[in-house]
Amino acid sequence: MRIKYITIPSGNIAEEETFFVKFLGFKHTGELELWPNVHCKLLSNNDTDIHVAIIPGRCMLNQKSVIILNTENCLKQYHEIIKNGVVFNHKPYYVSAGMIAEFTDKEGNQFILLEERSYTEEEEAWKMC
Amino acid sequence: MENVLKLSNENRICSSKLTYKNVTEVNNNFSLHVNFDGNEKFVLNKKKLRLFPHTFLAINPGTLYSDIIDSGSPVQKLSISFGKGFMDDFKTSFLKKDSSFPDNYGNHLPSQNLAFNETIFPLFGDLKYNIEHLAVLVRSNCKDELLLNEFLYHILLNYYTLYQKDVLFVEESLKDLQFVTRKEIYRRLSLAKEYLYSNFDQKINIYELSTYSCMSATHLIRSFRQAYHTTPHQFLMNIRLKHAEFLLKNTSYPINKIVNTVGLDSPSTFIKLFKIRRKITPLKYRASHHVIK
Repeated sequence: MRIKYITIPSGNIAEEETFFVKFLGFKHTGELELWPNVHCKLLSNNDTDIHVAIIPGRCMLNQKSVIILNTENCLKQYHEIIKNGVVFNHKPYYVSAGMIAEFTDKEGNQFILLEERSYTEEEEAWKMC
Repeated sequence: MENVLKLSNENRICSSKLTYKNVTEVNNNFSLHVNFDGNEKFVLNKKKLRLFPHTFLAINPGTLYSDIIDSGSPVQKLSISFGKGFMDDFKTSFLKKDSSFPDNYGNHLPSQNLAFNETIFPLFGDLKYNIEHLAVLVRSNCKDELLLNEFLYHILLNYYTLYQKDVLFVEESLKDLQFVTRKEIYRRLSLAKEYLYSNFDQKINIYELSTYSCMSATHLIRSFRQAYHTTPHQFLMNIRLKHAEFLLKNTSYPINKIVNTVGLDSPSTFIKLFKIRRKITPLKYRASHHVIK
C-alpha cells in the first residue's frame, strides 16, 4: 500500500487544471473515476507515477482530506484493515478506475483504497466475443 | 500438483497443474472451471467441449460431466464449487432485488431452480482480476475463510453481472421478437458461441455450426448478426486472434506454429489481421510484452 495520488480539492476543476498546466508546468495525464460518476483530473510534472488528482470540491463537504492509497489487491487489503478494527463506509465496489473501498478516520479524513485495473485492452479484445 | 481448499460452508476451491485427469461425476453444486494454461476437455451430458486459456466453463448442479486432461504440458486451472447455502444467500441478498433477471420475474423468493447458462465464457474484467487474486491466495495456502468467501462472493457477483449483461444485450438486440422466442434464440446462439470457443483451432464450416446450434445456416447468421452485431466468422476470427495474442505473450512459438495452432491458414492473413487490430506487427507485439516482463 502506498500513496500514489495527492488530492487537490477544487470548486472549479477546469480552472485549477489550467493553473497547474499554465503556471506550474504540469501535464494532463488522464482521468480517474474515484466515486461513481465523479471524475478527477490527473496531472504530473515528472516521470514518476505520483500524480496530482484534482477532485471536485463537493466531495469535501463531509471530510477534511482525501488520501488515496494504491494497493495491488483491494479485497485482501480491505480484509486486513477490517481485522485491525477499522470500519469501512461501504463494502468494496467497482468504478471505471478499478476497485475501491473507503473509510474515514476520527478527524473526518477520508481514506480510499484503490486497486487500479486496466479494462480497456482485454475488453476491447473480447468485445466481439 | 493440486491445492484443494474445502471451506466450512461447503464452498470448495481447487487450484491444479496437471498433465492427466479423468473424472466423471455428477456436479453437486454450481461450479466454475477456469483455464489459465493448456487445454482441457469436458463432456457435459452429451456435449463435448474444450476449454482453452482465459476462458471458463460454468456447470449447473445436477449435471453429469467428465473432466479430462491428457496433455504433454501441464494444464493450469482453478475450479470453484459454490455451496448450496452460499448460493441461496447470494440469491436472497442480491438477486431478490433484481426483477430484471429473467428467472426472477414475479418471483421474490429464493429461487431454488435458478440456473445459469451452462456454457463457456471469456475471462476478462473484474472477474479475471478477482479469480487471479484468488488463485494466488489458494496457491499460498491461505486458510482465512472470511477472506476466501469475500472473494467467492465477488466472483459470483462478477459472473452474474457478466451473464446478465450477455442476456440483456441479446434481449435488447432482439427486442422485436416475442419473449419466449428471444429466450430460445439466446440459448441456441450460446450453443454456437460455445462451439466456436471450443473448436476455434479447427476448420469450422457454417453447416457444422448450425447443426450444433439447432438452426439453419441462414437463420444462424442472421440471428447472430442481429444479436451480437457481428457474424459467426468475425466472432471466430476474434477468438483466434485473442488466442494468438496469448501465444505471442506466453510462448516462443514461431509465427507459423501460432498460425496453425489457432486454426488460421496463412501467416500473411494473420499478420494483416493482427496489424489491423493491434496497430503493430505480431513480432513487435511479442517484443513489447517480453520487454515489459
